[in-house]
Amino acid sequence: MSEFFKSNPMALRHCLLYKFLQKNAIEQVYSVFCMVIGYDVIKKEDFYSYSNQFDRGVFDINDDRGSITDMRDVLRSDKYALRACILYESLKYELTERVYKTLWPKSNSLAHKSNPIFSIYNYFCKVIGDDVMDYREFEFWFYRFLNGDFDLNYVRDKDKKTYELMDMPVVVMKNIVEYLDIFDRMKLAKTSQSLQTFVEDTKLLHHTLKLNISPYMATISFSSSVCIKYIREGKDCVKNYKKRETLIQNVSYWKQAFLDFKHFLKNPKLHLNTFFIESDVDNENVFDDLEDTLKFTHFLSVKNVFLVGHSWELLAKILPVLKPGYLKTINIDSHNPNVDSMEKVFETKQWKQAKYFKMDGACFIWPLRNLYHFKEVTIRLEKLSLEDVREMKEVLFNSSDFEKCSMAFSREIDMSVCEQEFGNLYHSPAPNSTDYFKIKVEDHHFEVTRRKR
Amino acid sequence: MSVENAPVVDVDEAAIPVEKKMYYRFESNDKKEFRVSELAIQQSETLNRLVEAMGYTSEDVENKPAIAIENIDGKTLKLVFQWCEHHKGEAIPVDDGSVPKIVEIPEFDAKLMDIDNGLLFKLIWAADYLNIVQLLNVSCKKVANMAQGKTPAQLRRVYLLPSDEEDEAAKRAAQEAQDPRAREVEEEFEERKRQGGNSFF
Repeated sequence: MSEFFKSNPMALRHCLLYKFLQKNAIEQVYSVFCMVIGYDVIKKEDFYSYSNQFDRGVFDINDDRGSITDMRDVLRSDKYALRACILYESLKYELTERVYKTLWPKSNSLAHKSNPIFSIYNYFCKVIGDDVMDYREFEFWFYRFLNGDFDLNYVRDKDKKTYELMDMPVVVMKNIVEYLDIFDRMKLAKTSQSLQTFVEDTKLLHHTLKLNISPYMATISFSSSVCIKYIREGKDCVKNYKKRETLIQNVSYWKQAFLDFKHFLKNPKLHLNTFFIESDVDNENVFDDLEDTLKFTHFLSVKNVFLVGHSWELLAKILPVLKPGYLKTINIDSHNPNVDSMEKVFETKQWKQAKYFKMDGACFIWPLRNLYHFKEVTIRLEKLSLEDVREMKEVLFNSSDFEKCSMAFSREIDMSVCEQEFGNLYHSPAPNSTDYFKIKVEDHHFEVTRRKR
Repeated sequence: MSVENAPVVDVDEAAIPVEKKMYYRFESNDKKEFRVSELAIQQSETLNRLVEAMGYTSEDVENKPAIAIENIDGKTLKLVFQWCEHHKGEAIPVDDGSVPKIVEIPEFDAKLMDIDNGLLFKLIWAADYLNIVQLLNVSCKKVANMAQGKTPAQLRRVYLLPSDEEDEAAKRAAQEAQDPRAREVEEEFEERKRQGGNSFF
């Protein structure tokens, strides 16, 4: 590379000016500069001399037009100068890659990072000026230099057909957008009306969406790293997102959280793997507002719903908005079972078509027949009666779907009740199948599992 | 005519007492020729069907003209075949759309796709045209990764996205270009202006 700069003194001087404009400590700049372009290209004293010259506003000592007010103009006004600066950046990138590979030979290359060239472009714009070159032009030259083509005078064929994102077939666009998370999609949608329509029309699979409401704060979490907080400040709400705080006056913290929550959920193409709602408030208004928030013209496509809270009201309010059949798992952790609201829940399609049910915190106080359509049930009961065992045996053992039932009891199980129905074997054949049921009974625990022979 | 050989993974041929490996010859729209192994071609559903339908023997491959791929240039096709050779024999993924796709970009692919966006979009277009599922997956993932954490303004810069106004202006221009009457009216208007007329009507 040294030879190129030795035979192109103007390109070298443009690179020197580019380095000078970065305003770093001069000693450090010299050693980095030599590492990038070669150690035998410029002497230290010449480097310092150029630095002083640029400091005085002089780019060329033979130019008698006087000092230049803004030295960036030298680069801005000359496309070859800009290319020389890009060449410097591409050489630096190559060097970084080499050093990186030497230090961490087993690690992935820099090309694995999301878009390192765009970061370099941003830096280039920061140093020389925001609108000196568009990204596509910068990128073209960057990769050309990276591939060893150092001709600064190369003339691009502008008539050649180029491809852009918007030229891609719809199926390709969908493929790309499906990899974007909810936030990046929202930003892409903001770029234009046509992309907004396109993004809204693309299926969005999101892993977990969690809403937490406590007496002083509400949070919406999209993943372990992205979380929005809504903090109670008297009658106002302080919204905290990415270390940025916004005061929203005269709006309760939960109402603001619900408003944003609705914004995310309103997308009919959203498919959630896990929908988690946790509430340790016992305020009717909060639940009524949440019910209003979840009113849409479409069902929410949620695979697994997890509800943790004081009140079972939550389940009765949330379940009807979830897509029946798509919902597979209902998981509830609550200490205050509400008889009436659960009666309504048992009648919903969502309950009847779900496959897995798990309950913690309180005893299941309703007839067990409400559970027999599930593939797998994990609950706590007060006690096990002979009628329960008979009914269970009658219904579950004749179901082709049933896989596992696990029950914990507050009172010790009366072994004689089980033995009366199952005998001593604790193995029972499944009707019309080669499968069998394994029955495990301990003092406070009863479990039936379908097994293959 | 230049002949570019896509890199082939070294195989100890003596250790494999089977018939000689079959290669096919392809030609890009700028007359670059490539020799590609039969196994690598299987990564492309389109090319695989094509060579199956042609039923070439080894002699045919040498004697007949190279199979022309008219929509793709040599630079792009070279990347496509390099990818196919590297991933030959690998299972082709099936997407049933039910779960979020988990696509990891291997080191080889990351380096292959360390190219400018213009070429990357050509590669994507080619992967779609030749129906190379996994190449399409990794290249689309690469484009999506570039969007991560960017503001709408930055996205416009990275992807050269037009704003609504630019979009509208481009549509209008395209409409006018397609409508000869509109062009005629405009030309007539310009002519009258040149002749000193103030009003068109």
